Amino acid sequence: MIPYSDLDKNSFDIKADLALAEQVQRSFLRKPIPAVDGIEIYADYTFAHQVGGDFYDFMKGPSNSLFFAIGDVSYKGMSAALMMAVLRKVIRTATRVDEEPTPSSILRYANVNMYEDLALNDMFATTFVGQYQPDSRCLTISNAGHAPVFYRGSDKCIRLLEANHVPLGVLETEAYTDVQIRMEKDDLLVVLTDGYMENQNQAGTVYGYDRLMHSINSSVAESPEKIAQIISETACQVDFGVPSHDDRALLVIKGAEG
Amino acid sequence: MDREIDVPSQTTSTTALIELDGRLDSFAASDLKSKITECLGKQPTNLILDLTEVHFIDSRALATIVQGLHACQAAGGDLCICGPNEPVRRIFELTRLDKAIKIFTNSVEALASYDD
Repeated sequence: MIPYSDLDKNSFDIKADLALAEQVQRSFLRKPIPAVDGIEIYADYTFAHQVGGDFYDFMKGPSNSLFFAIGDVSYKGMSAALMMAVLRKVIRTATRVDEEPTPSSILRYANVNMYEDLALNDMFATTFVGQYQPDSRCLTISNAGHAPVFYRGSDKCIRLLEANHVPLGVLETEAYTDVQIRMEKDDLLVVLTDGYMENQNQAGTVYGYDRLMHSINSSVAESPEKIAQIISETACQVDFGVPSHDDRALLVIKGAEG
Repeated sequence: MDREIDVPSQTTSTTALIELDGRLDSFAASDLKSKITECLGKQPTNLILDLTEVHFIDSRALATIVQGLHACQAAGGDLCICGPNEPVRRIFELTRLDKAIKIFTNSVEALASYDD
């Protein structure tokens, strides 16, 4: 029989450990977000538990370009946080191993290095990687199973961009490719993790893609930070007041004056 | 899940069909994992997951299905899904999991694809 006082101490140790783990994970979410000519960026993370499997990150690339990544490890809590920490580091390393890294080369490197660990632990990781080049206002993206991704370009219509690849950890080999889009003034890219869609009301109706798209559509004139705030508020409004059990990460990029 | 996951309701010598319903979420995922393991332990190497009555699926459940796919492939077989409603199918398409997991309209088509 374990004395009650020892149980109490164990519980305290676990809580203290979790608090430290949360502190470490929050340190991964770099602020301030790097400033780049031609775009405005805002990113945010809401923890459902003390630690979680979502992430976003920013890294300097060649020729004044900026890499960004956002992703979601398929489990929750500590196990997902451990895998997320490894994945984040692998992605950071991938931006340095090639002379001319691209989003697709980063995903290829990440899958080669993460496939076994993810598959062994019955996990996968959706990961969206982008590279913005200020000189050309070109945004190069590659998407391993991440959803949802919303883009509003020169035609002013918001559309859902499908991933061009399966999540990391699903297929051992995958021929990753890049897609290029323009980021002119007021163009908009919003990438979220699935915690936003999985909010549900008392009747069990999930928030879903269509409500998210409506929320973004109604806020396109705002700054990235305000757009993020509106998305978060509407996803958690009274009708959808049952909070998701999942973490939520979000990245909003808006074209600005060059 | 609204009820326990059905044991395989139709099988051939190498193919089992598991019918699922309700919410396929984190709580249902461990039950689904057990059923997949149980099915693969009874010879079949191909699994069909019938999602006709599933109205919600989360990332944990998707991971369990991918794990089932890997287990089937390791046994020389395959895993597919059938009958997803539009929102569930949309998740498989948006995440490109439809590239790794075949989707059939109904169980008849799925079973025919594994015809012995």
